Amino acid sequence: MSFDSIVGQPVIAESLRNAVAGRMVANGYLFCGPKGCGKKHTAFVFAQALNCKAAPSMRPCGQCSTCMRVKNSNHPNIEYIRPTGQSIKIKQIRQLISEVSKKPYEEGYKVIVVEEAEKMTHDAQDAFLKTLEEPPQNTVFLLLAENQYAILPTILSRCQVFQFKPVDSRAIEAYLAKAFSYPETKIKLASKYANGIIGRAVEILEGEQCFEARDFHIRLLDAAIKGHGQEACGMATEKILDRAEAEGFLAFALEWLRDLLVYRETGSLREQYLVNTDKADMLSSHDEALTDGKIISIMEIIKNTLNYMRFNVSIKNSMDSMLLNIAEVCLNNGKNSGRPV
Amino acid sequence: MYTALYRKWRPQLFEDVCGQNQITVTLKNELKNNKLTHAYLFCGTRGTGKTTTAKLLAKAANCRNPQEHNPCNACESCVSINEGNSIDVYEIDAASNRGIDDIRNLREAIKFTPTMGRYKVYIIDEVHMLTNEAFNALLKTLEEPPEYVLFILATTEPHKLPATILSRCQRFDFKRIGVEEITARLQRVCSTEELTADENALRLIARNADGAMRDALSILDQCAVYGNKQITVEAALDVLGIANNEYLFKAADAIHRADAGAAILLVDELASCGKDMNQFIKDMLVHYRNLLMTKVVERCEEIIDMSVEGIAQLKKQAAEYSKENIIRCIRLLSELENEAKWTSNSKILLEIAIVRLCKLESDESLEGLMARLAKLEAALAGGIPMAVLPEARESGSPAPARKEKAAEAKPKASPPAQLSDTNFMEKWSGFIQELKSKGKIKLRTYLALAKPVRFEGGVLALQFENGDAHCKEAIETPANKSDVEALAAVYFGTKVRIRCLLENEPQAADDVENDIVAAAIGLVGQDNVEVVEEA
Repeated sequence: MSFDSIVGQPVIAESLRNAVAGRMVANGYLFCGPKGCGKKHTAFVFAQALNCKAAPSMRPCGQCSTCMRVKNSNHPNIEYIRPTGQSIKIKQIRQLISEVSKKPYEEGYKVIVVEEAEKMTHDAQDAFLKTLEEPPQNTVFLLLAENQYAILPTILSRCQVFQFKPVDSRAIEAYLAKAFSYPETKIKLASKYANGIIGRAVEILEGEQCFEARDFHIRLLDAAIKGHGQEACGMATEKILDRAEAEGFLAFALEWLRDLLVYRETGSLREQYLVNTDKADMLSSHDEALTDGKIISIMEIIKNTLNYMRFNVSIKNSMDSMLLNIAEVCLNNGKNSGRPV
Repeated sequence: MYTALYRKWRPQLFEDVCGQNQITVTLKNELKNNKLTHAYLFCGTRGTGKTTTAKLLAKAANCRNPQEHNPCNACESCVSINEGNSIDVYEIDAASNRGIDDIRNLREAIKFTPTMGRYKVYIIDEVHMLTNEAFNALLKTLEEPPEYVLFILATTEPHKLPATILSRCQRFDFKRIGVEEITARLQRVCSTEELTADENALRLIARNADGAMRDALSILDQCAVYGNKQITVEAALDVLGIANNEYLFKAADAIHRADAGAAILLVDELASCGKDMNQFIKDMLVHYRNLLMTKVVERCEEIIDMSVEGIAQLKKQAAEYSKENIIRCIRLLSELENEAKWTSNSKILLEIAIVRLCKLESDESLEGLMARLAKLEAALAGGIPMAVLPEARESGSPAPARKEKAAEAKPKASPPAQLSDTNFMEKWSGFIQELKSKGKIKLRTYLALAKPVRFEGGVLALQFENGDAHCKEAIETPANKSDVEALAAVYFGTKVRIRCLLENEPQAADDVENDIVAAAIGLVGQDNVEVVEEA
């Protein structure tokens, strides 16, 4: 584990390395990025480097006792805050504040890692402000969050915000090829399908079910686009049982429509830019079946459904109404009503 | 120990508080004329100097040796306040001590006179977090505290305070700090901290700080660390994940040319060099706003923060766009900005939206229509002859009369053999939909339960389940049957006869009959054969 092990985030790795080497460590950091982009790993490496005993430019060495203990998560200077239940509550933050006022147990920095920081309640975030801004000496807060917009601007302005960027699929491919021994075609597909998130690529490689899920998603969407709304509903009722699966399908559907547009617009270059390269025949059949207007209406329907889910409409209802609506739009010859349900 | 720049550079004099002259001058005059009131409320967005001013006021009020009403930062009182261990100045974090008990403690302690200075100062930060009871417990004390007490309340959300608190305080609203002022301050910080900085880079940082000094200094800190004390435009762009202005012009250009392919490639390029998509959406929005400004404002240099060459380029691009189209783009982009905040994959949304922006022709929203109308008007004004189509296009609004005529003509034009078996089955659900849209709900209900099994020689076999025998009977009534057949003929463009079956009905007889029909057709031709069923 060193800063080099942070794949595809050169700006972040470089900044943190310089901060440690040049003794310019700030009091608060916020790492933002989707699940699986390496926030936690980065936090680990940074925590190691902050407490490592090697020469500043060599940190983290990965060999000294500090590094080993951080790696095995039993270093006393490093604390974790996680949501209890749905959120991180003001009580936890109060506990943290009193904890922070104690000196670190060993020399070096006291590192507080707040996981899923966006789950702090509004009150908890407010209570955190003063401490985050002016903590005692040698205290560093590392906040990890999936979405920085869910965090109060007053918190953001007190931290150095590092947004994890989507990694180029070619870079993911290179990394996977080096780190794993899977067949090349599989690696290629996984790196394209990962949307620039390393963790997702690895997950896809390690579990077959991702590909199975994709095949099912394609069949489901195909049924709806061909106008077999009821059939599609039946399929969905059988397989899509919880929120995560439904969201997975919606994300896939948007991606598929994006591919359709790319397929239509980029011509001979399309190989390079499509995500679902291996399903070109299916794409071309949908390409013929749908007009631009229809694609746009379908996208509106999907986006509306995403909204419903965010506001806790039942999964089955919103899925069914979405599939039926898509089928209706596709059947109506050229006329797109696209009206929200 | 390194301190973040925003902590190190907390202003120590009233003059150093950036961009809040109206407030600092007022406070200084109050100090000068000895007219301090007992309760102040500072509000404003983050990073505009509320806490800083509160601390300054506390120091100045207690300073033994004020320098033109500024705190001296050298006397015993100032030093102890700076170190945070003064016994006369209490900085209360209301967000973590927000209960009524905390306020009761405060009321207990307030009775004692200050030990060192003239005033006992209570700075209550994040005051909006006090509970309702705590606010009410504070009211009497806030209105009439002992003469040696000074309350300074600070908050970002004054709308959460009860009116009774608001009316007891002198309220000061801190406004956002201008780009110019932030840039100037950043420059000063850089020269003192021995950071080499590019002026354009600082301007970029200032623009992205959104009027908050703390944000600006945080970003400056980040850039300094990343670039090893060299702050260049490239480092700032990398840290902020912002795309160069060129990309914005290119994207707007591709959108204007309706070249969706080029636009998609552009987005891909941006993503592969690690730019932040949400940021790019925001920048696009600002870019279109700037385009609009160059179109509607005569002296746009004053409201667009850009170099002279940049503005010239903007004007050139704006000349190609119609105002309506710009407004349409802004609407779509601002919708997108909102959506993109809540998804983990904003790239896809951006790509989809950018294709949509390119397709002015198929945009049926009000703004889209306005933009298309404007385009048309411009073309007409230019005197371009419009080609008049002899016939309306297929996809135009389907006037019922015309459609029926087309349907009558169709069977002759297209040979019935073209309609293959599978093809027909696929179109069946479309037919059901068609019935619905024509208002034949009853027929649709019956037919929805039927399954088309095969289509041979102009005869469509529909299969019903045993339980749905009543539907079969309903369809078989002569009126309904002829109705369905007529509609089907229009929809499929060929003569269709309907035959209803039950699920378990023996089909042998059918097949024999079909064989006979097929043989007859072979003998005399399709048009001359009509199967008449005897009831």
